[in-house]
Amino acid sequence: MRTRIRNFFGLFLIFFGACLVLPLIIALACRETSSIRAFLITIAICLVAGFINMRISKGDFISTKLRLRDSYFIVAMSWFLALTIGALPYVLSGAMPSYVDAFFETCSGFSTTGATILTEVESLPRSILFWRALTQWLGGMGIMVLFMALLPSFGIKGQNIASAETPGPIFSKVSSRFSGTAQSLYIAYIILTGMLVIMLMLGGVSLYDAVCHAFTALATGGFSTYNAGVTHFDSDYVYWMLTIFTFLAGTNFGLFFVLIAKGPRAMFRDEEFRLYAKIMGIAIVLVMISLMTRSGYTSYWRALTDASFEVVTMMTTTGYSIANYVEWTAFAQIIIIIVMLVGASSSSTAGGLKVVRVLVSLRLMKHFTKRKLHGNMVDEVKLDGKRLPSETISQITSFITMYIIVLIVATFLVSFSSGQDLVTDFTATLSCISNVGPGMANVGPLENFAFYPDFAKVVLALTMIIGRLELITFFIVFTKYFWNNHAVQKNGFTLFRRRNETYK
Amino acid sequence: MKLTNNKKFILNIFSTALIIYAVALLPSFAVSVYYKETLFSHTVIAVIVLCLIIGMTAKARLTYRASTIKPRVHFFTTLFVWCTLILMTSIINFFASPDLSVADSIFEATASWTTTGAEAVVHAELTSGMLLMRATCNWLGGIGIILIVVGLLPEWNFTGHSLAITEIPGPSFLKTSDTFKRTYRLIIKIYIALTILELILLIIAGMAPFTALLTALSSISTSGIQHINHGIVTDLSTPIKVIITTFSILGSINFSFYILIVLKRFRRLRSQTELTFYTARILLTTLFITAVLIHFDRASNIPADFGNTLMQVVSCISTSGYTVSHCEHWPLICNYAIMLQMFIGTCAMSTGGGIKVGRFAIGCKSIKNSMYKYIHPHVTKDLEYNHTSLSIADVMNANLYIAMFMMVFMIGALLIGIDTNDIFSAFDFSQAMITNTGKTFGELTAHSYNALNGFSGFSEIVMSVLMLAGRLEIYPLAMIFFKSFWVRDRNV
Repeated sequence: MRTRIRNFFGLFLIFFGACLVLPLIIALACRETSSIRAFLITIAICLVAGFINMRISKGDFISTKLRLRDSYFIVAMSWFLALTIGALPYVLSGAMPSYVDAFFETCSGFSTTGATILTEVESLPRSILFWRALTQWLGGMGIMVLFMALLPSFGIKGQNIASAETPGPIFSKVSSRFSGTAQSLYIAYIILTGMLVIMLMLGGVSLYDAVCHAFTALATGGFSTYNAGVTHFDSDYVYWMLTIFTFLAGTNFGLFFVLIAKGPRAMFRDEEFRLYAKIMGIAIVLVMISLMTRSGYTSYWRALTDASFEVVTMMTTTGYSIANYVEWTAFAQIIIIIVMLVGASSSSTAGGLKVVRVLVSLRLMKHFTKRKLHGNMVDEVKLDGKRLPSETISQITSFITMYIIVLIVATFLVSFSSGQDLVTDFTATLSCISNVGPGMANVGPLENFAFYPDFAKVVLALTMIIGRLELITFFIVFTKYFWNNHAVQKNGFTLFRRRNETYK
Repeated sequence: MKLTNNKKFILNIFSTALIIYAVALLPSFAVSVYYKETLFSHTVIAVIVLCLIIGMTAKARLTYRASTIKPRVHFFTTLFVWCTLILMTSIINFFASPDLSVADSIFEATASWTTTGAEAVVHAELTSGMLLMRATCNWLGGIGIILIVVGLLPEWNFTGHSLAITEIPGPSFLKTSDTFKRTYRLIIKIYIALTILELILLIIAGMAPFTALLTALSSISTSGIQHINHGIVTDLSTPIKVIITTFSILGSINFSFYILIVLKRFRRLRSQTELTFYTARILLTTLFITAVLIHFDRASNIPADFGNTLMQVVSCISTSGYTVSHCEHWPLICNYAIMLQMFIGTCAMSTGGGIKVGRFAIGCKSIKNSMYKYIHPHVTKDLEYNHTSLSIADVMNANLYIAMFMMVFMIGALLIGIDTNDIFSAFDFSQAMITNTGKTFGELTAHSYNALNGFSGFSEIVMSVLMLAGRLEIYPLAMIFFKSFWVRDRNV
């Protein structure tokens, strides 16, 4: 068992080292000596550690079956490795002297949050900025999913790992084999990224900027290579392209295959997608009305562009901004807070509670109210015409409770040391758990997280990871149930020694 | 006109409630006559007569036969009775005080019925009759007017439980071997006994009898003590504060607890998960705040500080919402802690508001349970509450209510946000209203009382709806939006 997992991590480290080659190439092309050294050292660490792990774990590991909980362990552990190692280039190149800052930035990258502690982005080496964008791209669809798409023959139960990593309660299959699904998801992801790069270049954006922004837009991350963010481009064409593509990135990626196979009508029949579009539409209209009446906008086009850009990027949890919405009315700001909380679709690259969970709980609210109204009514909660098992619904409802509790506790911890007002702390935490990026008040779109003390930064960084791994994968490793059941290997059989297992 | 059974049912409850209300207003009338407050006494006697006429005429026409009444009708009755009584009270508010607008009077009335204890405008001096009327509404609203009706109706032919739980829902687990009717009468008796006890103790502690009466009526119903300096009572003597605190706790724990004591079911008392959670929350919050105070060197005398903190924590956890300690000097984190506790609120089957401890406890346990199920997907594991296992529907219901509460809170903040330009105060007021605390964070930290002067009538109506939603636990209000709620059936 252990050799099996260790072998897995060995391969993972080597794979991670390979990912670092891309920014290294940029560094070589731009002749940035400090970052060349940083990337080389990091790659060396990855490769050495990887090979050592592979050497130690020689043995017959194919016969061992991985248990369900091992997939949680593998995902949690590999994210931990990716985060700690991914922060090294920042520190080694001197871009961010403090390791806590670098860790925050890496968490923000891999979790596709896009919150930053940097006050000055443009002075950083280009390769480091590229690595920042790449972390978001890798984290967006899931680094383990990519690993499995590339190494299908590893024989691991990929489905479990993917459902531990991919956002959303219901993991939709595209292909009969899991590795096929992973490959298809990544193909869709790569095609969309490529399309956005071309579209942005048509709008006059340079190749490097187009690639970096396409990476962060499709991953719904929101890092930019400019201090001014996307407002640097100052072109409505670019804004609308980003709006459209972040909207697509927030859609269930499985639906693109439905679109290809069965046409757009089948895609619109998906209930989650419908609600996703509906919430977004309503929010845009409300924000637009608020902008036109209260915030002194005179042009409808300007109001439409700003409202749709902000609502779409906040709801897909990307977090770009072209307007300082902190100066908008409280009504518009609360709408933005609500869409941040709701988030986008499941099996997309976005964060938040996920529309499907909101949909199921709304259905359930209706169901329970009806049950109270009509005593003995027989009614079922359905999704896409199929009855949902009560187990799934119950997990969704406790997930929402857990989300609220984690949000509140994290806010509490952050405000313990921050000395900021509650709106700042709450929206910063909400922004991190939903993987958005900016918040309200002092962490608004023009601000950053640099002023937070180290303790708060670490809490926020962890909150991002908790939000990205959808709470369960993170917290499950800390439960006693996870550890109290030891598998003992004897004569090729796997024995489970049950301890403390009274099912009460 | 031939009345259907449903209508008879609704009228029966409605007329009884009106008569009870009219009778309950008599002391306020007497007080106002005694103090020669003509405007108020004229208004109140007009409303009393109106209520009595409607109530008596309706009663005279009723020949009630027992039949099965659908839950839909129960919910409708509850909502109808509450809205009418709030309307009646707002009529008195509107005509008796010239400085109140229509929205203000509705807000005031809702605040007193839902035991929120917020004021629409800062009154220089309220008349004595008005104060007593508000305290009476607090008291009736605290235990629930429907429950009093069900307890008092003599010709009640069935248990009335299904009606009463529309008003005091939540996971109450109020099952004793007794009939529900006797249980309700017992609850009313206990409630009256507690009120009288508090009144006597307050008078002994040196409070003026009339103030003591007001304080007793509104503190046992966890409304707050608005009549003394707008709820900022730091200057009261320590014994009085201790008495108020004690009775705030007593009013906010599950009334089935007292019933179990009266019926001598001590074994079941020991398995009250809710009570354990509730006391643990109060103590832990107090300890946390005291520790923070010591850490920041704000504590001069640790036992006294502990006591003061405890009183403030109780004031907020029981959703009464009065300022009893100088919490404006505390670090903000302490006030955050208190605010979080307001959300969770009190026990079910009590006079307080909030999400309710029972639901929160079930929510926490369900998280633990769902973790277990992620590791062992094929294992059936029940969730235990009060040493009995809960059905999956109960668990979902509790979790869902938390989500629903938060949703209504957000929507409330959104609507209030139309009026203000400060997100924080929008959330703050929404929180104060839906939890029925009536104390905003801003007031708590500023040690001041600032009423809703800046808000328009629209916001006040939104806040009134929020208070009612918090008091009746959302469902009756959510039902308005269902078509099947309004369907008439021919139940003759």
